[in-house]
Amino acid sequence: MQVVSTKKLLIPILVFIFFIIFINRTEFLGIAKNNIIKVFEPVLSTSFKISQSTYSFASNFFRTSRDLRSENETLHAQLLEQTQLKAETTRLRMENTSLLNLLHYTSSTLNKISAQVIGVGTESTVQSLIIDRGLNDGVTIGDPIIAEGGILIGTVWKTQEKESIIELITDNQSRIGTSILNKDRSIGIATGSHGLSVEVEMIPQDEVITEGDIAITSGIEKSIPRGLIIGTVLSIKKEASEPFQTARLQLPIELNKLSWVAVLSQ
Amino acid sequence: MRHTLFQAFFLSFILIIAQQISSVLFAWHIIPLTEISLVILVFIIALGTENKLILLTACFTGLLLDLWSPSGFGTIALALTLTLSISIEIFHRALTNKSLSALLILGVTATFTYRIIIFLINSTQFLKNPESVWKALLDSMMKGGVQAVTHSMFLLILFVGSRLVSKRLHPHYVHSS
Repeated sequence: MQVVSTKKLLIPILVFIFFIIFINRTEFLGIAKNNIIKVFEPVLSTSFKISQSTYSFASNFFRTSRDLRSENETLHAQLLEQTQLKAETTRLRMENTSLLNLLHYTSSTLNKISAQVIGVGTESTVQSLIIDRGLNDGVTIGDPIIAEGGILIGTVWKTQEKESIIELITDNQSRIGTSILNKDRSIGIATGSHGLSVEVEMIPQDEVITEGDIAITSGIEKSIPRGLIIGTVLSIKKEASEPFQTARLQLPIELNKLSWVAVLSQ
Repeated sequence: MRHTLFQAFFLSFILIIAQQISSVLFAWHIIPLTEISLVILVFIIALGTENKLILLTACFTGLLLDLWSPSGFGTIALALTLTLSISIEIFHRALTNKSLSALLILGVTATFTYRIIIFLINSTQFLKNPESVWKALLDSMMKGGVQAVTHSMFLLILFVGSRLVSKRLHPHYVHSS
């Protein structure tokens, strides 16, 4: 068998790639990249939508009636709870409005830019999504991204002229200052757990957390306001030898079914 | 050469659409379970395709995927090209019998090689936060393990499919060629 060497081919290709990387920051390549993105965006967006609809259809199709019955029961219980909460929230909102009026408080200075999810990031080592808003729309790196209901789903990782890449909160490298709405108002750091869920680390051992407590952003980061919902506590990991405990969160939404999001821009 | 370049461009176009579809369809939560472009390119190696076409396709596909990648521009192009050139060498030096097991070994090796190269290129980000390097490496290898299984399944499907329509992966084709 003849041994085929790739060295002769590999060297010019690597030189070409390094050359492209080197000129990446020049205006010329920027224009070329934007034109390629413009050509591919409709194809990318359409293939994403088709595959997302197929995925949703398939996942609903394979659900058994028992799953649906148990989900129905859970939803009934949640509805009852939400009705009680709504009444309480309405009362608190009225109280809050009158107090804010007294303080002449102006609410958040962040702009909401609505964006469509047009794809999944092409590198599987980072949990990411692509949205159709970029530098031209005022999106900057680090801006928080929320889904319907003020639920934080991630932050902007990379921006291009008309598109941005979001790092999801489930990614291992994601770090968000978090506050848990328990009696102690515990604070910690929300970090992604193998891309599957979110864990709040660095919570002091002596603070009491219970399952169902809501975790929100603490507002410690300059670009992320306080009060965005991250999730609810699903379980608590506590070891006597460790100074801190960890809370595993359940996310309120399925990240792979998102179509529209909003960027909170400065 | 111009013909090969055109073929490589066309293949790259097909591969990035396939990659985007597979990222959603074959994902668990938002974790893509397959790098379909890598799987297809590995399979193309086993079909005995010209090395020039494989490496050019890897380079173009990588550069196109880099446009929507969270990592620095050029990361996927470098990783994909290096992985494919290593896979070509392995296939022609060690796995010459074109059997299913040779194809699966090649798929698993390519999966881990690709992830290791990506991890090494991105390792500069751990300079700020060195204690997270082990967690990230463990996570990357765990996902690599899952991907190795799914990639093997895809290669198995492609292998069976190709045997039904072509003789290229039959042992007698190797002897005659």
